[in-house]
Amino acid sequence: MLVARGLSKQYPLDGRPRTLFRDLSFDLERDGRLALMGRNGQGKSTLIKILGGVVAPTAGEVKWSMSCSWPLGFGGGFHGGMTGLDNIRFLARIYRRPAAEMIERVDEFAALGKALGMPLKHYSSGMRARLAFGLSIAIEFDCYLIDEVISVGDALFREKCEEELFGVRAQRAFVIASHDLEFLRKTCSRAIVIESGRAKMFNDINLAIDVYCAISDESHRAIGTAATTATMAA
Amino acid sequence: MLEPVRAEGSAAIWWERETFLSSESDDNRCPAVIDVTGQARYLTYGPFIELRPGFWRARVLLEVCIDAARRRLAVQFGVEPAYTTVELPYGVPGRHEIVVEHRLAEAGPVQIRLYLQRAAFHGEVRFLGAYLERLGDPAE
Repeated sequence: MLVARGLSKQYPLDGRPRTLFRDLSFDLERDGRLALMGRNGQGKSTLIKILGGVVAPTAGEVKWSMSCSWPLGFGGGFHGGMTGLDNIRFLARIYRRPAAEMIERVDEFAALGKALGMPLKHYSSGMRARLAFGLSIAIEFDCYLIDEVISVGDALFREKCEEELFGVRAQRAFVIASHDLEFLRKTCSRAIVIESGRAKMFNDINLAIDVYCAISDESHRAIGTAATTATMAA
Repeated sequence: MLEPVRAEGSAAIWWERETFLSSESDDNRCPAVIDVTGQARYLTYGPFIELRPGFWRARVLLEVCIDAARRRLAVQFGVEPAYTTVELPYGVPGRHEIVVEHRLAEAGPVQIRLYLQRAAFHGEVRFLGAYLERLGDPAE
């Protein structure tokens, strides 16, 4: 189970504190599927990183009683100077998995072929995503933290990811940050919506999507009004 | 909190907040503060008090915070299924007096409803109540 209590995140922006969210509390069961929704820059990725232990919250705590993946889509877990193979070996040691078996499973899923022998700094974002996905599937986690990475790569790769994650691992927990509303509707049951320094839990994914769409429309309306005002002023 | 005061000698009827209903509270009474978070819905409605036929004016008093002011809110006044709707001014926080005039062809249980027209992420509304005034007969 994942238990998050009183999570807040602030960071300085132009010398003033900017709050992404405050006092956010929620639980996630071992088979729970939680969506994170919000416009760009509102804090979805930061929340995923906090859950994954990559970024510290300003306040609050995260308690895991199940294993969790690193935030998929976040490249910070890899060493750019090392080859794909060496990165796999490195993570195999950290997670105490047999390296040869890991390499085989990653290669089978990611289909990177000879590129596994290249340093990661030469990988495209899509190749890094394939490697990250392959590793997370080879290691096997109880909960997967996914940050938009599903949308990386071609349609075939996306299908493969979806099948591996949500088909083969249907009973695992997922936290998914995405703008793909139909994907979230299909895969998640609840959602946290983050907007303008607030984060709210919605226990109905359809309601969360309605709320998010309203936020997006309001935002477009505000941008349109500002643009019109600026044009008139000019 | 601003409380409305009936003008001296006014013929208006005052329906206070507690007269109205709402699904936002456990006792189905309109709460002092309504959290607009959630789906499109009637934030408050009722009170289903019968008014005699005629041309009526409702002056609905409410306060909206800056977040609620950016939601699409409307006041509806009438008897099922005929209502007159007036939208709140967009983006203007503070106290509003929304005037809605409606012709009641026959007596019936009247409602004044505050309608959230789209799902909302955040915001608060204080519904204070409504003055009702009969302006004339139905045929006038």
